[in-house]
Amino acid sequence: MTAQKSRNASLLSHLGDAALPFGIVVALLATWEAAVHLLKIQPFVLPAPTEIFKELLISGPTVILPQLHVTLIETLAGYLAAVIISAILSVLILYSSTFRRGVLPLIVASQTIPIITMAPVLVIWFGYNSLPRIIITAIVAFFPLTIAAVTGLKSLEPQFIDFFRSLNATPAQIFFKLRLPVALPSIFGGLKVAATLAVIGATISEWVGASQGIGYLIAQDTALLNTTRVFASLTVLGVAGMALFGLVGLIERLSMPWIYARPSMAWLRASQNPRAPAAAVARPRQ
Amino acid sequence: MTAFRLKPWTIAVAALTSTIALTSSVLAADLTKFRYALIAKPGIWDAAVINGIDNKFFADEGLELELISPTSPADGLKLVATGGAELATAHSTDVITARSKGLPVVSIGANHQTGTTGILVPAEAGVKDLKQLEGKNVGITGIPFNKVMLEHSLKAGGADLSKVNVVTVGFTQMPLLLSQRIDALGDAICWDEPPIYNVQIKKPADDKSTYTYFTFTDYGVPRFYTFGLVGDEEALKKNPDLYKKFLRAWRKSVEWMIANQSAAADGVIKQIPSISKEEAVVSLAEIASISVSAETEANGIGWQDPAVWEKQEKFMLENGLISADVDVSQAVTNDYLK
Repeated sequence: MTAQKSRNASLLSHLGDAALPFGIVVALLATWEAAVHLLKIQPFVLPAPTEIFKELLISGPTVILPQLHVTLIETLAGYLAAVIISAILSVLILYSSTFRRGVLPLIVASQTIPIITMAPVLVIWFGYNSLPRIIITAIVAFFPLTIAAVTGLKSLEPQFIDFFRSLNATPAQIFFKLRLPVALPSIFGGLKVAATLAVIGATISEWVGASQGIGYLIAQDTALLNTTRVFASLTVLGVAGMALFGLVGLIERLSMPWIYARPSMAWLRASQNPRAPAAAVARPRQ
Repeated sequence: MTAFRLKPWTIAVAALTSTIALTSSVLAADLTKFRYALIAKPGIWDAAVINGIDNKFFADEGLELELISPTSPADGLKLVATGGAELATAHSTDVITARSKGLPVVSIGANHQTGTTGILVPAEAGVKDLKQLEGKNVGITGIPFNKVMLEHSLKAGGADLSKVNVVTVGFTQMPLLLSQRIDALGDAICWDEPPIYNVQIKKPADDKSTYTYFTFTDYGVPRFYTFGLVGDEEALKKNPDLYKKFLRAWRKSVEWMIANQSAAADGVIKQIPSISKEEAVVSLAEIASISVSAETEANGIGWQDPAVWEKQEKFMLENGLISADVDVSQAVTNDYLK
């Protein structure tokens, strides 16, 4: 009976979690629709949500989704490249103070360059193919990943390392059995941010040197004043970004059963839920 | 205690300063602000207007021009249609497209009497006709109308479209051509890319032997106007005198630019020092030649023949750039030039 009550409470909590953003979206769309009609805003300036929805039904399957397919391949390739690069960088930064002092400022500086200005140069260097677009996507996505990974890997308290050493653990064992599991929540935070940034990176990269993809479609539609389809494409991109974010979230849950499957770790799950009562967030005594 | 005495020269300077300040403020107050959207960032193609401002042609008509640089040519039209600018520079294609989308924009004058968009191939490639572009990479900016014109011309020139690799490269065409990533520019403009190409390969800017140029209008693409002056239907009706004043000053500016090309180039370089004088002079010579036509000889600078617009509209409809017929008689008028 208690277990049933707990399940019902959990279900209600999840429904509550979903209802809030849904309610906000509905309210925003209603305000937007009303504003367009009341203020008589022309569709080329701001199309109404209902018009965008109609456009999605018309152009979605035949025009937008085939282009999204191209963008998603670039997104995933760039994202994967970013994951590999940031994994290598974060390990080097963690273990080499020379590398940290020499390269970390350059990594930070790389993020101050407006990436769109790099796109033409990359096309000239690497030619007319998808490689420049994958590189741009990787450049956009790797930074939060690297910072999150380094932060996570360095967050370990020294006494845990001392404890592992006292058990004759090798450096590799310390890394894989201690540092990495402890860093995973932080790493997944970076992975989720990078997932959405990768979608943006791939789309921007298609503004230069592409003949297909959703970014290319948006550029073409902007030139042809197809503002409604631009918004429809943006909607599809938003959904794709959310899906990618959700997928990383799912992998996160599956990768950290010690957090998500154990009732004793409820405090950590609760700490990630802003609606949880303060008492639940308080960390239990060691 | 020392008495404070004003010296005569101090009084004279003060009086002169006050007079200048007062006159300037009165003059500024007399001028009507006129927001004019350029086609994109300012360039040599804006020589007439930039020099017209310097030469006070617009001020003489009581106008104080505020130049706006939109991010894309279509944005200028949106600005005009939403009251963000009085006038915008725009391609006739964009005007027809805008009308098809319900934007009440009207072309009231044209800078260029014919579009000169075409294919530029370095001479060393030995391409003598468009069929020889088969198997080559042709880079285009991605402007939809340009792509249509290119494909139409390639077909008309006997090339198999499936064998020509048309690639969209944005506005990085020239570096890609120079680095041999592409073999030809698929939507060059005769007054822009050729001098730039020549200067880059260290040849005189006006050397026509370094490249082969295929103009689209030689391959069945109808003549079209470019760099038109486009206003909003309602605003034009509401304040016709304002637009007539602008057009009078603008015509004077274009005529001055045609007659004083070197000085006009200097005037633009003064504002945009990154422009090369050598390129600018060659560009302006070409621009000057397309700013006039038989119609402008008869009716004055800026004149537009509605029949030319009709043929272009038909071409756009046939090639799927617009989905429904557009009444071009609503999109173009010469009334404000009179």
